[in-house]
Amino acid sequence: MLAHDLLDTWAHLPSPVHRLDARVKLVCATALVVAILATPVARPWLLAAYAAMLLAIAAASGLPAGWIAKRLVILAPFLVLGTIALPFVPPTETADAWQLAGIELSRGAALVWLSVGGRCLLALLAATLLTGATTSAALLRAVGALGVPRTLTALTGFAITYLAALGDEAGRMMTARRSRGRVRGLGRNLRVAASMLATLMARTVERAERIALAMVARGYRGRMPALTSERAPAAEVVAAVAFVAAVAAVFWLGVRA
Amino acid sequence: MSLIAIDDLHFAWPDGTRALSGVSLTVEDGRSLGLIGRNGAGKSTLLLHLNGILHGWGAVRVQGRPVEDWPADDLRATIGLLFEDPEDQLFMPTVLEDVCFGPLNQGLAPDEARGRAMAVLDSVGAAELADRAPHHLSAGQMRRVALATVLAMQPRVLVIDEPVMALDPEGREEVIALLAGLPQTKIIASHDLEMVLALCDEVAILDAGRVPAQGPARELLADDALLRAHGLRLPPSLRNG
Repeated sequence: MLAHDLLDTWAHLPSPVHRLDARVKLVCATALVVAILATPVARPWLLAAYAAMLLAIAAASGLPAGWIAKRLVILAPFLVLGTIALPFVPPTETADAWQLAGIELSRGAALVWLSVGGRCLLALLAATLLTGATTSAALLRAVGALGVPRTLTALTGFAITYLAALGDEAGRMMTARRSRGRVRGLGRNLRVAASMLATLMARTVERAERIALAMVARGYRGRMPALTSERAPAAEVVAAVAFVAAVAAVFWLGVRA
Repeated sequence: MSLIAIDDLHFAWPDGTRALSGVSLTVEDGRSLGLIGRNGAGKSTLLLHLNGILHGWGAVRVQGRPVEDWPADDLRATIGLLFEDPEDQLFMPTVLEDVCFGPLNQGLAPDEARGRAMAVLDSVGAAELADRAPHHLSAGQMRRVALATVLAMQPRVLVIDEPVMALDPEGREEVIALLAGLPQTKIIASHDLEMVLALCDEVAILDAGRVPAQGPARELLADDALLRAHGLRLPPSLRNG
Protein backbone atom coordinates (compact mmCIF):
# COMPACT_ATOMS: atom_id res chain seq x y z
CA MET A 1 0.00 0.00 0.00
CA LEU A 2 1.33 3.43 -0.92
CA ALA A 3 1.70 6.00 1.85
CA HIS A 4 -0.92 8.29 0.34
CA ASP A 5 -3.47 5.47 0.39
CA LEU A 6 -3.33 5.70 4.19
CA LEU A 7 -4.96 9.12 3.96
CA ASP A 8 -8.74 9.14 3.55
CA THR A 9 -8.76 5.35 4.10
CA TRP A 10 -12.24 5.33 5.63
CA ALA A 11 -13.44 8.70 4.36
CA HIS A 12 -15.72 7.24 1.70
CA LEU A 13 -17.99 5.04 3.83
CA PRO A 14 -21.71 5.46 3.17
CA SER A 15 -22.62 6.50 6.75
CA PRO A 16 -24.83 9.46 7.72
CA VAL A 17 -21.80 11.06 9.42
CA HIS A 18 -19.77 10.76 6.20
CA ARG A 19 -22.61 12.25 4.14
CA LEU A 20 -22.80 15.44 6.23
CA ASP A 21 -21.36 18.64 4.76
CA ALA A 22 -17.72 19.03 5.87
CA ARG A 23 -18.36 22.57 7.16
CA VAL A 24 -21.19 21.30 9.35
CA LYS A 25 -18.95 18.56 10.75
CA LEU A 26 -16.11 21.01 11.33
CA VAL A 27 -18.31 23.46 13.26
CA CYS A 28 -19.84 20.66 15.38
CA ALA A 29 -16.46 19.09 16.14
CA THR A 30 -14.93 22.46 17.05
CA ALA A 31 -17.82 23.24 19.42
CA LEU A 32 -17.48 19.85 21.07
CA VAL A 33 -13.68 20.15 21.45
CA VAL A 34 -13.99 23.63 22.99
CA ALA A 35 -16.62 22.37 25.46
CA ILE A 36 -14.51 19.31 26.35
CA LEU A 37 -11.37 21.34 26.93
CA ALA A 38 -13.25 23.93 29.01
CA THR A 39 -14.82 21.33 31.32
CA PRO A 40 -13.93 22.11 34.97
CA VAL A 41 -12.03 19.45 36.93
CA ALA A 42 -14.88 19.30 39.45
CA ARG A 43 -17.38 18.17 36.79
CA PRO A 44 -16.08 14.76 35.62
CA TRP A 45 -19.58 13.54 34.74
CA LEU A 46 -19.73 16.25 32.07
CA LEU A 47 -16.90 14.41 30.34
CA ALA A 48 -18.97 11.25 30.57
CA ALA A 49 -21.80 13.04 28.75
CA TYR A 50 -19.45 14.17 25.97
CA ALA A 51 -17.94 10.70 25.76
CA ALA A 52 -21.45 9.29 25.26
CA MET A 53 -22.04 11.79 22.43
CA LEU A 54 -18.74 10.85 20.77
CA LEU A 55 -19.38 7.13 21.11
CA ALA A 56 -22.80 7.57 19.48
CA ILE A 57 -21.17 9.50 16.61
CA ALA A 58 -18.46 6.86 16.28
CA ALA A 59 -21.08 4.11 16.10
CA ALA A 60 -23.09 6.03 13.49
CA SER A 61 -19.96 6.68 11.39
CA GLY A 62 -19.14 3.01 11.00
CA LEU A 63 -15.41 3.78 11.35
CA PRO A 64 -13.59 0.63 12.52
CA ALA A 65 -12.96 0.63 16.27
CA GLY A 66 -9.41 -0.68 15.74
CA TRP A 67 -8.58 2.18 13.38
CA ILE A 68 -9.90 4.74 15.91
CA ALA A 69 -7.99 3.07 18.75
CA LYS A 70 -4.75 3.20 16.75
CA ARG A 71 -5.11 6.95 16.36
CA LEU A 72 -5.77 7.40 20.07
CA VAL A 73 -2.61 5.49 20.95
CA ILE A 74 -0.61 8.63 20.14
CA LEU A 75 -1.67 9.92 23.59
CA ALA A 76 -0.36 6.83 25.37
CA PRO A 77 3.14 8.17 26.26
CA PHE A 78 1.62 11.30 27.79
CA LEU A 79 -0.96 9.32 29.78
CA VAL A 80 1.59 6.75 30.96
CA LEU A 81 4.12 9.40 32.05
CA GLY A 82 1.46 11.34 33.95
CA THR A 83 0.21 8.18 35.66
CA ILE A 84 3.73 7.17 36.69
CA ALA A 85 4.28 10.64 38.16
CA LEU A 86 1.07 10.55 40.20
CA PRO A 87 2.40 8.61 43.28
CA PHE A 88 5.15 11.23 43.59
CA VAL A 89 2.60 13.98 44.34
CA PRO A 90 2.03 13.76 48.14
CA PRO A 91 -1.46 14.31 49.61
CA THR A 92 -1.83 17.85 51.00
CA GLU A 93 -3.78 16.63 54.05
CA THR A 94 -5.25 13.44 55.48
CA ALA A 95 -8.60 14.00 53.79
CA ASP A 96 -6.76 14.28 50.45
CA ALA A 97 -5.06 10.89 50.86
CA TRP A 98 -6.39 8.10 48.67
CA GLN A 99 -5.28 4.50 48.97
CA LEU A 100 -5.08 2.55 45.72
CA ALA A 101 -3.57 -0.95 45.75
CA GLY A 102 -1.47 -0.03 48.75
CA ILE A 103 -0.17 3.19 47.17
CA GLU A 104 -1.04 6.50 48.77
CA LEU A 105 -2.13 9.06 46.17
CA SER A 106 -3.26 12.66 46.37
CA ARG A 107 -6.96 12.61 45.60
CA GLY A 108 -6.86 16.18 44.22
CA ALA A 109 -3.93 15.41 41.97
CA ALA A 110 -5.55 12.18 40.74
CA LEU A 111 -8.80 14.01 39.87
CA VAL A 112 -6.88 16.73 38.01
CA TRP A 113 -4.95 14.09 36.15
CA LEU A 114 -8.09 12.09 35.25
CA SER A 115 -9.76 15.27 34.04
CA VAL A 116 -6.77 16.43 31.95
CA GLY A 117 -6.16 12.97 30.50
CA GLY A 118 -9.87 12.47 29.80
CA ARG A 119 -10.22 15.85 28.12
CA CYS A 120 -7.20 15.21 25.88
CA LEU A 121 -8.48 11.76 24.97
CA LEU A 122 -11.99 12.98 24.13
CA ALA A 123 -10.70 15.97 22.13
CA LEU A 124 -8.46 13.63 20.16
CA LEU A 125 -11.39 11.27 19.62
CA ALA A 126 -13.48 14.14 18.24
CA ALA A 127 -10.68 15.14 15.86
CA THR A 128 -10.19 11.51 14.80
CA LEU A 129 -13.88 11.09 14.01
CA LEU A 130 -13.89 14.34 12.02
CA THR A 131 -10.83 13.48 9.94
CA GLY A 132 -11.82 9.83 9.59
CA ALA A 133 -15.27 10.59 8.20
CA THR A 134 -14.23 13.47 5.92
CA THR A 135 -11.85 13.49 2.95
CA SER A 136 -8.81 15.71 3.41
CA ALA A 137 -9.87 17.71 0.32
CA ALA A 138 -13.36 18.38 1.73
CA LEU A 139 -11.89 19.28 5.11
CA LEU A 140 -9.49 21.78 3.54
CA ARG A 141 -12.33 23.35 1.58
CA ALA A 142 -14.39 23.56 4.78
CA VAL A 143 -11.54 25.22 6.67
CA GLY A 144 -11.15 27.70 3.79
CA ALA A 145 -14.90 28.39 3.68
CA LEU A 146 -14.82 29.22 7.38
CA GLY A 147 -12.27 31.96 6.85
CA VAL A 148 -8.80 30.39 7.03
CA PRO A 149 -6.62 32.16 4.39
CA ARG A 150 -6.54 30.39 1.03
CA THR A 151 -2.73 30.36 0.94
CA LEU A 152 -2.63 28.41 4.20
CA THR A 153 -5.16 25.81 3.05
CA ALA A 154 -3.36 25.50 -0.31
CA LEU A 155 -0.03 24.94 1.43
CA THR A 156 -1.62 22.34 3.70
CA GLY A 157 -3.07 20.64 0.64
CA PHE A 158 0.37 20.56 -0.99
CA ALA A 159 1.87 19.17 2.21
CA ILE A 160 -0.72 16.37 2.38
CA THR A 161 -0.22 15.43 -1.26
CA TYR A 162 3.53 15.72 -1.51
CA LEU A 163 4.52 14.44 1.92
CA ALA A 164 2.66 11.28 0.96
CA ALA A 165 4.38 11.24 -2.43
CA LEU A 166 7.71 11.75 -0.66
CA GLY A 167 6.89 8.88 1.70
CA ASP A 168 6.21 6.65 -1.29
CA GLU A 169 9.50 7.69 -2.87
CA ALA A 170 11.40 7.00 0.35
CA GLY A 171 9.72 3.58 0.51
CA ARG A 172 10.84 2.79 -3.05
CA MET A 173 14.40 3.85 -2.23
CA MET A 174 14.39 1.61 0.85
CA THR A 175 13.16 -1.32 -1.25
CA ALA A 176 15.87 -0.66 -3.84
CA ARG A 177 18.49 -0.52 -1.10
CA ARG A 178 17.29 -3.76 0.50
CA SER A 179 17.15 -5.52 -2.87
CA ARG A 180 20.87 -4.84 -3.33
CA GLY A 181 21.89 -6.66 -0.18
CA ARG A 182 22.25 -5.90 3.50
CA VAL A 183 24.42 -2.97 4.55
CA ARG A 184 26.65 -4.07 7.43
CA GLY A 185 27.87 -1.80 10.19
CA LEU A 186 26.30 1.21 11.86
CA GLY A 187 28.68 3.66 10.16
CA ARG A 188 27.89 2.41 6.66
CA ASN A 189 24.18 2.31 7.45
CA LEU A 190 24.27 5.92 8.63
CA ARG A 191 26.18 6.98 5.50
CA VAL A 192 23.62 5.24 3.26
CA ALA A 193 20.73 6.82 5.19
CA ALA A 194 22.35 10.28 4.90
CA SER A 195 22.86 9.93 1.16
CA MET A 196 19.26 8.72 0.71
CA LEU A 197 18.03 11.73 2.66
CA ALA A 198 20.12 14.07 0.52
CA THR A 199 18.76 12.46 -2.65
CA LEU A 200 15.21 12.80 -1.36
CA MET A 201 15.74 16.47 -0.56
CA ALA A 202 17.24 17.15 -4.00
CA ARG A 203 14.32 15.37 -5.69
CA THR A 204 11.87 17.34 -3.56
CA VAL A 205 13.37 20.64 -4.67
CA GLU A 206 13.32 19.53 -8.32
CA ARG A 207 9.70 18.41 -8.04
CA ALA A 208 8.74 21.70 -6.37
CA GLU A 209 10.30 23.54 -9.31
CA ARG A 210 8.37 21.43 -11.81
CA ILE A 211 5.09 22.01 -9.96
CA ALA A 212 5.76 25.75 -9.84
CA LEU A 213 6.33 25.70 -13.62
CA ALA A 214 3.06 23.80 -14.13
CA MET A 215 1.23 26.38 -12.02
CA VAL A 216 2.75 29.32 -13.91
CA ALA A 217 1.89 27.62 -17.22
CA ARG A 218 -1.76 27.65 -16.16
CA GLY A 219 -1.84 31.31 -15.32
CA TYR A 220 -0.85 31.32 -11.62
CA ARG A 221 0.09 34.84 -10.53
CA GLY A 222 0.73 34.36 -6.82
CA ARG A 223 -2.85 34.02 -5.63
CA MET A 224 -4.54 30.65 -5.29
CA PRO A 225 -7.96 30.68 -6.98
CA ALA A 226 -10.82 29.05 -5.09
CA LEU A 227 -14.02 27.40 -6.22
CA THR A 228 -16.76 28.76 -4.00
CA SER A 229 -18.56 25.83 -2.42
CA GLU A 230 -22.26 25.27 -2.73
CA ARG A 231 -24.40 26.13 0.27
CA ALA A 232 -24.69 23.46 2.95
CA PRO A 233 -28.16 21.82 2.93
CA ALA A 234 -30.57 23.76 5.17
CA ALA A 235 -31.48 20.65 7.17
CA GLU A 236 -27.81 20.04 7.98
CA VAL A 237 -27.32 23.65 9.05
CA VAL A 238 -30.33 23.32 11.38
CA ALA A 239 -28.93 20.04 12.73
CA ALA A 240 -25.54 21.69 13.30
CA VAL A 241 -27.12 24.60 15.17
CA ALA A 242 -29.11 22.11 17.29
CA PHE A 243 -25.95 20.08 18.01
CA VAL A 244 -23.93 23.14 19.04
CA ALA A 245 -26.85 24.33 21.20
CA ALA A 246 -27.06 20.89 22.85
CA VAL A 247 -23.33 20.90 23.59
CA ALA A 248 -23.59 24.42 25.03
CA ALA A 249 -26.66 23.48 27.09
CA VAL A 250 -24.98 20.38 28.53
CA PHE A 251 -21.94 22.46 29.40
CA TRP A 252 -23.95 25.26 30.96
CA LEU A 253 -26.14 22.91 33.00
CA GLY A 254 -23.12 20.90 34.08
CA VAL A 255 -21.13 23.91 35.22
CA ARG A 256 -24.11 25.40 37.09
CA ALA A 257 -25.04 22.16 38.85
CA MET B 1 2.66 33.40 -41.68
CA SER B 2 3.46 30.42 -39.46
CA LEU B 3 1.50 30.10 -36.22
CA ILE B 4 4.78 29.45 -34.38
CA ALA B 5 8.19 30.44 -35.73
CA ILE B 6 11.43 29.86 -33.86
CA ASP B 7 14.58 31.37 -35.30
CA ASP B 8 18.13 30.74 -34.08
CA LEU B 9 17.13 30.15 -30.46
CA HIS B 10 19.93 29.64 -27.93
CA PHE B 11 19.61 28.77 -24.26
CA ALA B 12 22.01 27.78 -21.49
CA TRP B 13 21.11 26.73 -17.94
CA PRO B 14 22.57 28.78 -15.05
CA ASP B 15 25.29 26.13 -14.52
CA GLY B 16 26.51 26.80 -18.07
CA THR B 17 25.06 23.66 -19.71
CA ARG B 18 24.03 24.57 -23.25
CA ALA B 19 20.56 23.19 -23.97
CA LEU B 20 19.70 24.94 -27.25
CA SER B 21 22.29 26.04 -29.79
CA GLY B 22 20.47 27.77 -32.63
CA VAL B 23 17.07 26.05 -32.96
CA SER B 24 14.98 27.12 -35.95
CA LEU B 25 11.60 25.60 -36.84
CA THR B 26 8.07 26.53 -37.81
CA VAL B 27 4.60 25.16 -37.05
CA GLU B 28 1.63 25.93 -39.26
CA ASP B 29 -1.87 26.57 -37.94
CA GLY B 30 -3.90 23.38 -37.48
CA ARG B 31 -0.92 21.08 -38.07
CA SER B 32 0.80 18.68 -35.68
CA LEU B 33 4.54 18.72 -35.26
CA GLY B 34 6.45 15.86 -33.65
CA LEU B 35 9.61 16.91 -31.87
CA ILE B 36 11.90 13.91 -31.66
CA GLY B 37 15.44 13.39 -30.46
CA ARG B 38 17.61 11.47 -28.05
CA ASN B 39 17.63 12.07 -24.27
CA GLY B 40 19.09 15.45 -23.41
CA ALA B 41 18.57 16.81 -26.94
CA GLY B 42 16.74 19.84 -25.52
CA LYS B 43 13.13 18.90 -26.34
CA SER B 44 11.60 19.79 -22.94
CA THR B 45 13.70 22.96 -22.71
CA LEU B 46 12.46 24.08 -26.11
CA LEU B 47 8.83 23.50 -25.11
CA LEU B 48 9.21 25.76 -22.06
CA HIS B 49 10.18 28.64 -24.40
CA LEU B 50 6.89 28.44 -26.26
CA ASN B 51 4.75 29.89 -23.50
CA GLY B 52 7.37 32.22 -22.11
CA ILE B 53 8.43 30.23 -19.04
CA LEU B 54 12.04 30.19 -20.25
CA HIS B 55 13.63 32.99 -22.26
CA GLY B 56 16.66 32.32 -24.44
CA TRP B 57 18.48 34.34 -27.07
CA GLY B 58 16.88 34.38 -30.49
CA ALA B 59 13.34 34.77 -31.74
CA VAL B 60 10.23 32.84 -30.68
CA ARG B 61 7.11 34.18 -32.41
CA VAL B 62 3.52 33.10 -31.82
CA GLN B 63 1.03 34.39 -34.38
CA GLY B 64 3.83 36.58 -35.71
CA ARG B 65 4.38 38.31 -32.37
CA PRO B 66 7.52 37.78 -30.24
CA VAL B 67 6.61 35.91 -27.03
CA GLU B 68 8.21 38.62 -24.88
CA ASP B 69 5.66 41.11 -26.30
CA TRP B 70 2.70 38.93 -25.28
CA PRO B 71 0.93 39.58 -21.96
CA ALA B 72 1.82 36.44 -19.96
CA ASP B 73 -1.84 35.51 -19.33
CA ASP B 74 -2.76 35.75 -23.03
CA LEU B 75 0.26 33.70 -24.06
CA ARG B 76 -0.51 30.95 -21.52
CA ALA B 77 -4.13 30.88 -22.62
CA THR B 78 -2.99 30.48 -26.24
CA ILE B 79 -0.29 27.88 -25.65
CA GLY B 80 -1.38 25.01 -23.40
CA LEU B 81 1.58 23.13 -21.95
CA LEU B 82 1.24 19.52 -20.83
CA PHE B 83 4.17 18.30 -18.74
CA GLU B 84 5.97 14.98 -19.00
CA ASP B 85 5.01 13.76 -15.52
CA PRO B 86 1.29 14.24 -14.81
CA GLU B 87 2.03 14.13 -11.07
CA ASP B 88 3.74 17.51 -11.52
CA GLN B 89 0.75 18.85 -13.43
CA LEU B 90 -1.86 17.87 -10.84
CA PHE B 91 -1.46 19.65 -7.54
CA MET B 92 -4.92 20.56 -6.23
CA PRO B 93 -6.85 18.46 -3.67
CA THR B 94 -9.47 17.23 -6.17
CA VAL B 95 -9.60 16.66 -9.93
CA LEU B 96 -12.36 19.25 -10.34
CA GLU B 97 -10.39 21.93 -8.49
CA ASP B 98 -7.33 21.10 -10.57
CA VAL B 99 -9.20 21.44 -13.86
CA CYS B 100 -10.77 24.71 -12.62
CA PHE B 101 -7.35 26.15 -11.64
CA GLY B 102 -6.54 27.52 -15.11
CA PRO B 103 -10.02 28.89 -15.95
CA LEU B 104 -10.22 30.63 -12.54
CA ASN B 105 -6.83 32.21 -13.19
CA GLN B 106 -8.23 33.37 -16.53
CA GLY B 107 -10.87 35.28 -14.57
CA LEU B 108 -13.87 33.01 -15.07
CA ALA B 109 -16.58 33.05 -12.39
CA PRO B 110 -16.53 29.89 -10.21
CA ASP B 111 -19.78 28.52 -11.68
CA GLU B 112 -18.58 29.13 -15.21
CA ALA B 113 -15.20 27.51 -14.43
CA ARG B 114 -16.94 24.51 -12.86
CA GLY B 115 -19.19 24.11 -15.93
CA ARG B 116 -16.27 24.31 -18.32
CA ALA B 117 -14.22 21.89 -16.23
CA MET B 118 -17.01 19.30 -16.15
CA ALA B 119 -17.52 19.59 -19.92
CA VAL B 120 -13.80 19.06 -20.55
CA LEU B 121 -13.60 16.17 -18.08
CA ASP B 122 -16.54 14.60 -19.88
CA SER B 123 -14.79 15.04 -23.24
CA VAL B 124 -11.71 13.15 -22.02
CA GLY B 125 -13.83 10.44 -20.37
CA ALA B 126 -12.96 11.48 -16.82
CA ALA B 127 -16.18 13.11 -15.57
CA GLU B 128 -16.62 10.41 -12.92
CA LEU B 129 -13.22 11.32 -11.45
CA ALA B 130 -14.19 14.93 -10.61
CA ASP B 131 -14.27 14.44 -6.84
CA ARG B 132 -11.27 12.12 -6.63
CA ALA B 133 -7.86 13.17 -5.31
CA PRO B 134 -5.51 13.42 -8.33
CA HIS B 135 -2.71 11.51 -6.61
CA HIS B 136 -5.04 8.52 -6.15
CA LEU B 137 -5.58 8.06 -9.89
CA SER B 138 -3.99 5.46 -12.15
CA ALA B 139 -1.34 6.59 -14.66
CA GLY B 140 -3.84 6.55 -17.54
CA GLN B 141 -6.45 8.49 -15.57
CA MET B 142 -3.80 11.02 -14.53
CA ARG B 143 -2.84 11.56 -18.19
CA ARG B 144 -6.45 12.22 -19.17
CA VAL B 145 -7.03 14.56 -16.25
CA ALA B 146 -3.75 16.41 -16.93
CA LEU B 147 -4.90 16.89 -20.52
CA ALA B 148 -8.23 18.21 -19.22
CA THR B 149 -6.45 20.80 -17.03
CA VAL B 150 -4.88 22.24 -20.18
CA LEU B 151 -7.94 21.90 -22.46
CA ALA B 152 -10.03 23.78 -19.89
CA MET B 153 -8.00 26.89 -20.72
CA GLN B 154 -9.15 26.51 -24.36
CA PRO B 155 -5.68 26.94 -25.87
CA ARG B 156 -5.12 27.33 -29.59
CA VAL B 157 -1.92 25.29 -29.44
CA LEU B 158 -1.24 22.16 -27.37
CA VAL B 159 2.38 21.62 -26.43
CA ILE B 160 2.77 18.11 -25.06
CA ASP B 161 5.83 16.49 -23.53
CA GLU B 162 5.93 12.66 -23.76
CA PRO B 163 2.15 12.07 -23.61
CA VAL B 164 2.23 8.26 -23.49
CA MET B 165 5.29 7.63 -21.37
CA ALA B 166 4.83 4.89 -18.71
CA LEU B 167 1.36 3.93 -19.96
CA ASP B 168 0.23 0.37 -20.60
CA PRO B 169 -0.73 -0.48 -24.22
CA GLU B 170 -4.42 0.13 -23.61
CA GLY B 171 -3.82 3.47 -21.86
CA ARG B 172 -1.41 4.46 -24.62
CA GLU B 173 -4.03 3.72 -27.31
CA GLU B 174 -6.65 5.70 -25.39
CA VAL B 175 -4.42 8.77 -25.09
CA ILE B 176 -3.41 8.60 -28.77
CA ALA B 177 -7.07 8.38 -29.83
CA LEU B 178 -7.89 11.29 -27.55
CA LEU B 179 -5.11 13.48 -28.96
CA ALA B 180 -5.98 12.51 -32.55
CA GLY B 181 -9.50 13.84 -32.00
CA LEU B 182 -8.39 17.26 -30.78
CA PRO B 183 -8.60 20.06 -33.35
CA GLN B 184 -5.83 22.23 -31.87
CA THR B 185 -2.42 22.77 -33.40
CA LYS B 186 -0.11 20.32 -31.59
CA ILE B 187 3.57 20.11 -30.80
CA ILE B 188 4.39 16.70 -29.36
CA ALA B 189 7.82 15.87 -27.96
CA SER B 190 8.37 12.13 -27.68
CA HIS B 191 10.60 9.13 -28.12
CA ASP B 192 7.59 7.07 -29.18
CA LEU B 193 8.01 7.38 -32.93
CA GLU B 194 5.05 5.10 -33.63
CA MET B 195 2.82 7.56 -31.79
CA VAL B 196 4.45 10.50 -33.56
CA LEU B 197 3.77 8.76 -36.87
CA ALA B 198 0.11 8.28 -35.91
CA LEU B 199 -0.45 11.84 -34.71
CA CYS B 200 1.88 14.22 -36.53
CA ASP B 201 1.91 15.72 -40.01
CA GLU B 202 5.47 16.93 -39.63
CA VAL B 203 8.52 16.00 -37.62
CA ALA B 204 11.50 18.02 -36.42
CA ILE B 205 14.59 16.20 -35.21
CA LEU B 206 16.36 17.89 -32.31
CA ASP B 207 19.94 16.92 -31.61
CA ALA B 208 22.51 18.68 -29.41
CA GLY B 209 20.31 21.77 -29.20
CA ARG B 210 19.81 22.14 -32.98
CA VAL B 211 17.22 21.07 -35.55
CA PRO B 212 19.12 19.27 -38.30
CA ALA B 213 15.95 18.20 -40.12
CA GLN B 214 12.28 19.15 -40.33
CA GLY B 215 9.87 17.68 -42.83
CA PRO B 216 6.84 15.46 -43.48
CA ALA B 217 6.48 12.79 -40.78
CA ARG B 218 6.14 9.81 -43.15
CA GLU B 219 9.25 10.89 -45.06
CA LEU B 220 11.57 11.59 -42.11
CA LEU B 221 10.42 8.68 -39.96
CA ALA B 222 11.16 6.28 -42.85
CA ASP B 223 14.74 7.54 -43.25
CA ASP B 224 16.70 4.95 -41.30
CA ALA B 225 20.12 6.56 -41.89
CA LEU B 226 18.90 9.99 -40.73
CA LEU B 227 17.24 8.58 -37.63
CA ARG B 228 20.31 6.49 -36.72
CA ALA B 229 22.57 9.51 -37.14
CA HIS B 230 20.59 11.21 -34.39
CA GLY B 231 20.28 8.29 -31.97
CA LEU B 232 16.81 7.21 -33.14
CA ARG B 233 15.40 4.09 -34.79
CA LEU B 234 12.65 3.42 -37.32
CA PRO B 235 9.17 3.06 -35.81
CA PRO B 236 8.14 -0.65 -35.80
CA SER B 237 5.46 -0.23 -38.47
CA LEU B 238 8.01 1.15 -40.96
CA ARG B 239 10.61 -1.58 -40.44
CA ASN B 240 11.18 -4.35 -43.02
CA GLY B 241 10.07 -2.31 -45.99
